[in-house]
Formats: sequence, C-alpha cells, structure tokens
Amino acid sequence: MNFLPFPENISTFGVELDELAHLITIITMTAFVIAEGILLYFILKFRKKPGVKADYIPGNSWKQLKWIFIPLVVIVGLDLFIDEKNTHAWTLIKQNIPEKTHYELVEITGQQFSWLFRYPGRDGLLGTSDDFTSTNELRIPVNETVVFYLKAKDVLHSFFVPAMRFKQDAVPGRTIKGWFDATKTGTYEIACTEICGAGHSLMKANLIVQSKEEFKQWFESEAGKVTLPAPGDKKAPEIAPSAASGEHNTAAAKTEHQVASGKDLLQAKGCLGCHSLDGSKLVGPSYKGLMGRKEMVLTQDKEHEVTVDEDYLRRSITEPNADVVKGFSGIMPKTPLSEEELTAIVNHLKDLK
Amino acid sequence: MATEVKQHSVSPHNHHSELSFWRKYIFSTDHKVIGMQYLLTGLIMVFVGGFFAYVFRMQLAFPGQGIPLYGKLDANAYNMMITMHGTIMIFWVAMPLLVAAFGNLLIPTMIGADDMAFPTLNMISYWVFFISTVVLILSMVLPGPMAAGWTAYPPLSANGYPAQIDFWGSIGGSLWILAVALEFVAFLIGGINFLVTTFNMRAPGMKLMDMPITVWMMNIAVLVFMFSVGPLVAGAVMLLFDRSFGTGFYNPAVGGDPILFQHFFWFFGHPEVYVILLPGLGMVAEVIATMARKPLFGYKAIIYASIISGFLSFIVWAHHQFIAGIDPRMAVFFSFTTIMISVPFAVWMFAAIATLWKASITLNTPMLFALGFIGEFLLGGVTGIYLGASAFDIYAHDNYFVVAHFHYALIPDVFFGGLAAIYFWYPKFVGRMYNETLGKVHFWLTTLGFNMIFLPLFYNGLKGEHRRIFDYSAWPSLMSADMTQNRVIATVGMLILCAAQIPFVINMIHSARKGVKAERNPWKANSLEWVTASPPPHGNFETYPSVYRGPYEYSVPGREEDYWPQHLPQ
Amino acid sequence: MSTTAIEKNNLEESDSVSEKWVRPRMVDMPKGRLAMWWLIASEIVIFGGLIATYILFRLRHPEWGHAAGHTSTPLGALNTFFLLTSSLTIVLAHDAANRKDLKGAVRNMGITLFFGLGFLVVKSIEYSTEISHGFTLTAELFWSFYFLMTGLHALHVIAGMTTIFIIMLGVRKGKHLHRVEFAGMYWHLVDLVWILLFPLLYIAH
Repeated sequence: MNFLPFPENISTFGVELDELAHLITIITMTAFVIAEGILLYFILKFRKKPGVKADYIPGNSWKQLKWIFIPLVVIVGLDLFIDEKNTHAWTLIKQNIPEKTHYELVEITGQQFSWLFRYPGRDGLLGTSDDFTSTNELRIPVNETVVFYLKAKDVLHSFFVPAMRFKQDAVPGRTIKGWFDATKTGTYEIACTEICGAGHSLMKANLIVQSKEEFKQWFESEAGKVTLPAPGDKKAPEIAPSAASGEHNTAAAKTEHQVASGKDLLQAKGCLGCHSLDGSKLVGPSYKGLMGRKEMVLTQDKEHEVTVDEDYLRRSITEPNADVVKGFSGIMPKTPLSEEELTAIVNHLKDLK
Repeated sequence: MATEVKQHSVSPHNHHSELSFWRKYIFSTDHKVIGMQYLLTGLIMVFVGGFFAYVFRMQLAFPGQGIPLYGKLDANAYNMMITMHGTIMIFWVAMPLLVAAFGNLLIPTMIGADDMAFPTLNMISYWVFFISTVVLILSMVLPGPMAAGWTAYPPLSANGYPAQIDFWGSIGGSLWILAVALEFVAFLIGGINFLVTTFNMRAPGMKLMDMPITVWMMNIAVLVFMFSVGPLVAGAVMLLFDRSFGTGFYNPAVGGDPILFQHFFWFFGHPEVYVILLPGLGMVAEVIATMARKPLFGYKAIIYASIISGFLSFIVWAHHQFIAGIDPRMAVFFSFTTIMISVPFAVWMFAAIATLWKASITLNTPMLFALGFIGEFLLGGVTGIYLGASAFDIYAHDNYFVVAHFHYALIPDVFFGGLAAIYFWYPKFVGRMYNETLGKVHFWLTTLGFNMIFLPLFYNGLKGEHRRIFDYSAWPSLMSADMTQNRVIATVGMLILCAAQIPFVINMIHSARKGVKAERNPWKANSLEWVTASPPPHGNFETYPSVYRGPYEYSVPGREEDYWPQHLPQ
Repeated sequence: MSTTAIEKNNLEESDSVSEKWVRPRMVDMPKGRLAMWWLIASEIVIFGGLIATYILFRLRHPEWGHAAGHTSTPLGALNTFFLLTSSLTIVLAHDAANRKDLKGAVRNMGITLFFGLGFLVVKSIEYSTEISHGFTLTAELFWSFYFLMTGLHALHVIAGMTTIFIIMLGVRKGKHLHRVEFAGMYWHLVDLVWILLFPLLYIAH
C-alpha cells in the first residue's frame, strides 16, 4: 500500500522509512478517526434536554476508569510496536554504517551558501593530493554503497536528499559519517534544511546518479585533470580529516608554502557556490566578463553605476555588502583571506572573460 | 445573600479605593489587574506575531510580489520575521496568556485567597515582563536583529566563528537574547509566587485534591518551567558572550561545541511545550465539566498523569536533535520516551471525552472552543507519533510536516484553550456577558481558517517541502501545481483566521461597555471564583469561603440543583 | 451564604500564616521561607547547568589543567575563608534576631557585609592580575568559563549583600526581624556555589 504523497524513493533504506510512515499512518489515523467519531457522537447525542439531568460518573473507581485504561493499554501496545519498527529502520540508516568501499567515498562540506563535494581521486583516499572537488553537484554511481563524511565550514547546515529519504545536520567541528545506496539513475535535488543565513533559500545542489560505466568515465576524466605535485611534496594520506575549517580544504591544504592559484581559491573558498563562471545567474552575479562591466549598484540604498575595476573587486570581497548589485540581495558573508590570496583571486577574476 | 454577610465582611484593603489611577491600574499589586495587564500584553503581542505570519505567508504564496501593508520582502527580513513569529508566539503570547494571565486571575480566586502571597513581587514580575517586551521590540528595529530561527542555534546566532564582533551593528540580536532572559526572570518570580500562594493560602478545608484542576496544572507547569529553564539562562548568557565579546563557548575551533546550545535550548524547550500545554488543558477541563454538567471523569487520574508527563518531559528533549549530529544510539532511547509521553496525554484526552458520556451539554462559545481544542489537538497529538519515530524524523525534520504538527498542538492549546478561557471567565472578571452570536461566528471562522492553513501543510511536508525557505521558485521539485496551490490555500486560510479575530475584538470591547451585567455565577459552576461578585472586588471575597467538597460535584443524585458549590456546607 | 466569616490576619506583614483560616497546609513553613526555597531551587538549576557543562568540557580538555594552574589558589582559599566565616556570622545574626537582640543582629549582619566586601576586593585583585597576565575573557575557553562562572557568582554576592543591607536597615528600626533568616538562606546558597567553584576552577589542575 502506498497512499502518502512522498516523492519517488531512490534509496535502498527509503523503503523502510516509507513503510514505517505508512504503518504509523494506519495506526494513528484509525485511532484518530475512532476518537473523533466518539467525540462527535457524544456531542450530538448528549445535548442538554429539558428535565434530563446528566449522570453522576466521577471516574474515581477502577470500575469506571477501565474505560480509560483499556484503550490506554491498547495504545501502549501499538506505541511499542511502532517503536520496535522504528528502531529497526533507524539502526539501518544511521547506526550500522557500512565500512568504506574502494573509491565510493566522498566528503561533503556545507558552507554559506553552497555544497562542496570532494572525491578521493585515483588512490581512493580522501585528504591526499589527488583529490578533486566540485561545487553543488554530487555524482554517484547507481547500486553502489556510498559512504560519505559530512562537515560544515561556517555555520550549521543540513544535508537533505528528499528522494533518498536522507537528512543529516552538518556541524562545524564534527565529521559525521553517513551512507546511502541509490537504486535509480537521474538528477535529484539536494537541499540545506538548517537555516544558515540570508542565502539559505538558495543553497541547493544536484545529485546526479549515473550508471556505473558513466560514473567511472566521469571520475577518470576528473581525476586525470588533477595536477599532482612533485613526489616529495606528497602529504601523508588522511582519511576523514577531523578538522573542518576551510584551511584544510583542497587548494589551501595542497601547498602550504605557496599561495594556491586564484582558480583553486575560488573553488576552495566556496565562491563558485554563488557566482558562476558561465554567465548564469545564481545567488550572486556571474564572474563571466566581470572586468570592465558596468553594473548598477546600491550603496546604502542609493543607486548608482560603477565600472568594475580592480579596486571595486577588492572592495566587493573585503566588504561584501558595501555595494550590492541591483537585482541581488546583500547576503554575501565575509571570507577571511590573506593579502596574497586576495591578490591571487582578484588577478584571476580580471582574466575571466 | 450578599447583604446578609455584609456585617461580617472583612475588607483589609478598604484604603485601596482611595488609590490614585497609577496605583490602581498601572502599578497595581492586585492580582486581577496584573492578570489583566498580562492578558492585554499577550493579546497585543498576538497581533504583532500574527502580522509577521501574514507577511511571510503572503510571500510564500505569492513570492516576490509586493505585500499589502508591508511592501516587498527580502530574505533578511523574512528570516527575522520567522524568528520573531516563533519567539513572540511562544514567549510573549502563550506564556503570558495561559500561564501568567490566567494563573494570576484564577489561582487566588479559585483557592479562596485575597491575593497572591507576594503582591509586590507580583507587580515586579509583570514590569520585568513589560521591560522584556520593550527590549524585544527594540531588538526588531535596531540593526542586526536575530534571524537564525527562534531556536537561535549558534554559530549563526553568534554571527559565525570567529565571531565578527560588531557590537552596535548586531545589537538587535543581542537584545533579543537579553529580552528572552528577562522574560524568564519575570516568569521565575511569578512562578515562585504561584507555588507559595497555592501551598500556603488555600481556603480552609481545601485539600490538594479539592483544588480545581486548573490550579493543579498551573503549579505543575510552573515547577516544570522552574527546573528546566536554568541551564538555558546560563546557555543564553554564553551565547551573548560569544556574540558580543568574542568568547568561544560554542566555537569548535577553540574547544567549544555548537551542539551544546541545542541541548540547553531543548532541555528547556521541550518541557516548555508542557508548561504551555498543561494550563490550557486545565482550563479546558474546567469548561467541559461545567458545560457538560458532569464531574470531570477521573480527576485524580488526570492529575497523576500530568505529574508523570511533567517528569517525562525532562527526558525527551533530544527528539528535536535526532539528526543534529548526536550519537545515533541516543536516538533509540529518546524515541522510546517520546512515543511513551503520548500515554499521559491519551489519559487526558480519554478522560475529557468520557466526561461527555451521558452528559447534558450546552454548546455555548467557551464550550465550542473547548471541544474544538479536543478535536484539533487529537491531530496534533497523533502526528507527534510520526515525529517521535526517529527514522521518520530523518525525513520530516525541519519540514512542513513538523510545522503543521506543532501548530496543531499549540494553536488548539493557546488559541482554542485560551479563547475558551477568555470567554468562560469574561463575565467573572469583566462583569458583563459577551455576545454569544459574535462568539460563535468567531469560533467557526477560527476553526475554518486554522484548518485551512495547516492541513495542506501536512501534505506539502510529506512531499518534502522544507522549512525557512524564503522563495520556493528556486526549487523545481517543490513547485508542482498541487504544492503551490496548497500554499495559496494556506495563505487564504491565514487571511480568514485574521479576519475571524475582528468579531472577537468587537465582542470584547463592545461587551465590556454595553454587555448585559453578569451575575455572580452565570454558568452555575462550583469553584470558588464564582462565589464572589463579578468582577471580584479588591481582596476578592466579601467573606472568606471554606471548602467542603471537590470542585466537580455536578449532577449529584438526590440534589435538586445540578451543581453543588465547593463552599456550601452539607 | 452561611459561611462563617473568619478573621484573617494581614498576610502581607506576618510571616506565620494565620492558623484560623488556612487549616490544611502542605508545607508547614512561613511563605517567605517557602519562597526562598523555591528561589534557591531555581538558582541551583542555573548554576547546576553551568557547572555540569564545565565539568563535561573539563573532562574533554585535560589541557585546561595547565590554565587552571594560573589561578591563584591562596587568594581563592582566602575568599573561601571569607565566605565561610560570613556564613557563620549571618547564622549568628539570625540567632540574635530570634532573641530580639537588635544590636547583635545588626552587628553580625555588618560583619557579614564586611566579609562580603572583602570577597569582592580579593576577587577584583585576582581579576586584574589575571587580565594583566593576558588571561582575558577570550584568551582560552577555560578563562571564558572562569570569568563567566565567577562573574555570575560575584553578581550573586552583590545581590546577597544588597539584600542583607536593606534588611539590616529594617532590623535597626526593629522591623522585619524574620527576614534575617531568608537573607541567611540566600547567603548560604552563595557560599555553597563558591564551595563548588573553588575546587573546580582553582584546585583541580
């Protein structure tokens, strides 16, 4: 039986959850309808009639109280039944997380206001130099157990995939392990369901479930793009790194002594979560053709036109909401950057056509 | 009768009649005036909180369009409004209305006392509450208001870590924390007063099991409040320090823990549900027994069940945090306790329904609201079972199913229960009868509007609509025809609910001036507040009553009248 | 209405509730004392939450022992001595008030206030030394807890002293003698909290 208006389920454990919901619905709605029915019947039946006095039934003896306690025992029994089913489903989803498989590992980081996904690269280990990342797009193979580590960079986020029936808060300072196993290919929504600031409503990502072959192809091509540093530079592999802050993310962690390239920084600092490279409008204006563009901006509610130059770019990063481009809202968080990093980013932005 | 006792009358407060306007109505120590002050403050705040609901429901149904009376809404204002709506409705409406206002009005009159145990402390309690209200309103208009949801989880509520300290630029949110803390202080003072009054000032002969159920519920509620709020007061101070002075109590980078605040919040937040619920249950039970002309079925069973639920409420809090990153093994325990806490409330519901068996029901406005409470609250209760099941909560957490669920628990309680109480005791404390027709119009429109708002939200919640989203246009899967249509239905329901309050306001104001003068005991009820004049004079009773029986001796066989007031000797 | 009117004592001033018209009583104590117990109960929950949190963090962070080494145990011990002694004097004040010995009550309350003041002076010396050594509120989480907990406690010391002072003014004129007991109860709470804070923040390294 399937009468609740859930979205389509594509995870293995989602079936359990849907069944639980249906079971609870049948039990509680039966009890609800019976109780409402009795209530309505009493209201209609026992209205005040002239000359008829109510019965004196104080309900202070077991003989009378049995009318409460017999249904109560039934309720407790049904409660325990629900609880037993629930424990089973909960244990499966959240408690018995499978050990990691070969490369189906991914690290998910929530940040204001985008999701960052980090894949382990060819060596199958997270935290090594051959990792690669993507923003707001998670690709996983179908019918394969995916184990992931969930983190948050700034504030609380919550990783919600309705089609998977999966949700887990991402907490700064913690790495939370989770898993799922998709049963169907396609594109699905990933949402943030913990309020995380003004851009919370726009914090959205896509889950792309691909066939194993397609996924492997994509994975290989992405892994191939990673430029490996000289052999001596390689850091020790670190599985499920415990620190969550941005400093430990891809680009910054890759080379500690030299500043990462502007391109990598845009990815690592999460800029690309809100600003596209291809001209499409996301949470914020696109980077495409930014330099020299004329924009209408609001400075303290006053509208005026600016031409984008280096000073404007710097100021927009260090004081994000001083000038807000018309048609967008001033919600960009301040990102802590060193002077070198700032210069690298601005130089990179200047080159973007 | 009144003339007969006049010669015996004790009026220790005669000199009060010469008090100035200020001492009589503003800085009064009379529990009835203070109760009315709480009531009016609560009723004014309900319109503030309701206005926010109006604005964001309009935005959700018609995103991006200008909202009449407000204009265009942006994401920051939206987040502020949902925060303030929750804060106001729980702390500045439910608490003052159900606990403080009716506690003040009813506890002394129901136990036959002349006033609270500490009248001056009572006045201080109200004025601390009043200051907290002013601070709350300031927090909305000053820069940087709280916009992290009414639960105010750090790091967002602390402006992120390391905290970007901009003391004046984020003063609004800091004042919000202060306002909530002040409000707790006001209710702690008031609560101590309630407890001492109940224990020490009962009329002669009134044993604990002779107290009206309302007095019981108020005191259980106050005890639950008192033992749960402490850690949150400490937690709120820590949050304020993090936000304003740059400490790191909730900052993981220096060894703090953001989830700690959630524990503080919900260790209080869940018992708080029962703090609000129990007084509502008590007052509704009062109305039902009186209007059904029957003893409250299982009076003692209800009291014991309520005490048990009070204890249980301290060990269910983590069900708000199933997916917050707590140890998943904890969820198994909390899921069990949460599902079990439905049992005491099932006792209450069954007892209320059993009271109606072979009764003689008068369906006037307070009774309609009381029965509406039972009918609607049942849905809020059973949907709680869904959310208590931790596995289903994975899907439903922070989802409109939750929103619909707790509104189905709180609106029946605060709105239906509160209005039942307002109509029921209106003749007593205003001294005039309300208009029955307007009252019934109010009830049916309120019921219609309320169900129109929240029934569709259950559906949308099951479809996966998540909370606190400013504009669903960005979410294709949540923009299907049925879901957008439901959002419009809910908004129309909200407009009906707002419109439904017009007859209420007219009724209250008009009847207070032109209504029929109320007699002492218009409902032929048993408890002590109906013994004295309507409205009760300063000092409440012309002659202090003694108590000879419990408060629910209705339709006792062998008596001609179908009620038997507590103060009449055998 | 045939109820016999029962004369009622003026409850606002007397602390023993009239026997005449309140026959059944759940708690056989004056309302002021009862209220004070409830107040103390709610204060204990506030400090209890804070102290429990601190202990949990302390167990998670053994390195705080090092920071705790920078608190001044001798000064903390001196303050403990001050508070314990003042608890004794407030009991003596209560005893004197019971004997209607106004002078003795005022004198002992004065000594209590003196020790309270001494506590605050020592506390501020500690604070300024610590801050001058760089151990500010935001230096480390241990110091955040230290300043929050001792600060909150110091506020209670000030509140207790204010209460005692006001009651002392009344007692001098022979009024509200029974209130000395309530002030004493509150002062014991302040003392008790300090006895918990002292080992947690000063001694445990």
